[in-house]
Amino acid sequence: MKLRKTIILLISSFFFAFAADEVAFLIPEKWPQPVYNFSENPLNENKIELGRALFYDPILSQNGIISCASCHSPYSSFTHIDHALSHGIHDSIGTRNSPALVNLAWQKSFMWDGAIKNLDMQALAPISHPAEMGSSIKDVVARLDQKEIYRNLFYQAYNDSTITGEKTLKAISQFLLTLVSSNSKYDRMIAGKENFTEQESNGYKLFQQNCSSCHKEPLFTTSEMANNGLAVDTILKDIGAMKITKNPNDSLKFKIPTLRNVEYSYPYMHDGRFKKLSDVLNHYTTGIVHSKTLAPQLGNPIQLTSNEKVDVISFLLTLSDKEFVFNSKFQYPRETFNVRQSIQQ
Amino acid sequence: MRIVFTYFFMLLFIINTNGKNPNGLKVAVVFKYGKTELSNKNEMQSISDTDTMKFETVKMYLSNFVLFKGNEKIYSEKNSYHLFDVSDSSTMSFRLPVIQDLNFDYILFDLGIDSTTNSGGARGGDLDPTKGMYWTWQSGYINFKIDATNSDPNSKFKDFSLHIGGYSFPENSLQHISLGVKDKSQIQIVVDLEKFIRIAEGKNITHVMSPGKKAVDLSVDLASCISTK
Repeated sequence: MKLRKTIILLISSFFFAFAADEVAFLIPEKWPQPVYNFSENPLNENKIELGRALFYDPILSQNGIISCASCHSPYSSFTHIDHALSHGIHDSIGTRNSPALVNLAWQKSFMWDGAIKNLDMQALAPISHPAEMGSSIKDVVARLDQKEIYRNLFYQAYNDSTITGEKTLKAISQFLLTLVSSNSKYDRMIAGKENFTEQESNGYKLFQQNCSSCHKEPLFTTSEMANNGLAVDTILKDIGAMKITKNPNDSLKFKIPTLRNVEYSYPYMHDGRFKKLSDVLNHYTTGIVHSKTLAPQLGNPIQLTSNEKVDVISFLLTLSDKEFVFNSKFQYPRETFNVRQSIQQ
Repeated sequence: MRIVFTYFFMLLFIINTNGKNPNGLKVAVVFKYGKTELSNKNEMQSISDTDTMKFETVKMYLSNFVLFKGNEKIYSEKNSYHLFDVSDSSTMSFRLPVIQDLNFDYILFDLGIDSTTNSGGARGGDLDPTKGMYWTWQSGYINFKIDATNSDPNSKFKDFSLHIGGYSFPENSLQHISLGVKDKSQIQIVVDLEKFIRIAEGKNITHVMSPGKKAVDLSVDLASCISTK
């Protein structure tokens, strides 16, 4: 009897220990189900921390200088603040503005042209691009394998110190999936915990009338591709999704970005052409360029007075989530790097 | 008692193996150019001292292997994805875990990777992105990759880079292939690279680096260059 109890206790402890690292993905109340298939990559504390280390480590780049965080800073909602176009190794300038990394579990595609269909594979693009990190996943794996800190981190995450492309990419996904922003003033208003000012309320109504068909609540994007009437930049000549699909119906269509934390993520649009939110609203009221693929909602210009534009911006500022941008769990993993480096010394 | 245990474990072994061939049925791929079988002996695969073609990269995905007898499916391999890379001889064959002397007529497989896997998450093994067969600027696997040069000064085409992929209609370059098998002791799938390159030359196609009509057309042509020995 005593032996049987001991055996049951030992087996239970094993399963408990195994399950202790598992992390549940919490869906905010009334939000839709995420698109990402968690069954193929269930969240795990050690894998998240590995992914976080990889996100902040310039080891991913060919010259050891550029990390994911170089273009996706946590304080600007994981985008490259004040840069119209991102820059990478050897000061190379890219062709697009870095998108904010927010609520990625709900996105159907990635990159401004929707070229990547699964979050796991998105990191391959910047890793391999000659103007971003200038490397390859094969070389990244080889570099990681040279570092004891990573062999240890991979062992902790996967019970196996063998480093593969699959494990590397899935770990980065795990960290990215935790970047959930759902505690802005808007969210608290929806939950009945806070009230909008009169200006913010008016701005919200105007937003719902004019903007929400593309920037749909609660994610403030439909994640679809749309032509929002931007003139083609004569130097970049970016044709958007058509570059990937080669379908003329996709000409000048870009992925609708989230407006969450838009206060922090300037400049705006796929090429960062607008520095201020007022510039964005002016585009929608007086700057639309008509073409065959223009979003039907923009067929007629949006009508907003100057005061109404201010109200809309007031509302947009309620989408700022300070808890998200200052969350220490999303920032540079000092503990991981400092402790591990101390051990190595 | 010892004899009883011995017979018991022998019986367990027989039931467990169920007559399976512990080595399985070998499936090998051979890339041929003319009479020469490419191998990993040289970094640049010279066909011969006299031939001017040199191959730097030859890689191909085959997947979803199924064995048929008439209309009856005899065996279907699970998680069936195989990358054949001339530069690594260990990748040029694999074994299907089937019984010895399995009775089948022909083999079905796909040249390339299915669309679900193409648009899915990161995978390991032969599908690991470190294999250099996943486009980095968009989703999707490269089903077949060949990089070669021709030093013949009289040749119109000096180099070939044919990276054939694409999974989304109408740019789906996956091809279903069905081949009769005579030698049931092992299956040799032969890819006639010379025939394929001549077809590409005839179409004035020497570079394909993205999905599209050219890739789809060449995938059909490539399928026509695949046979069993």
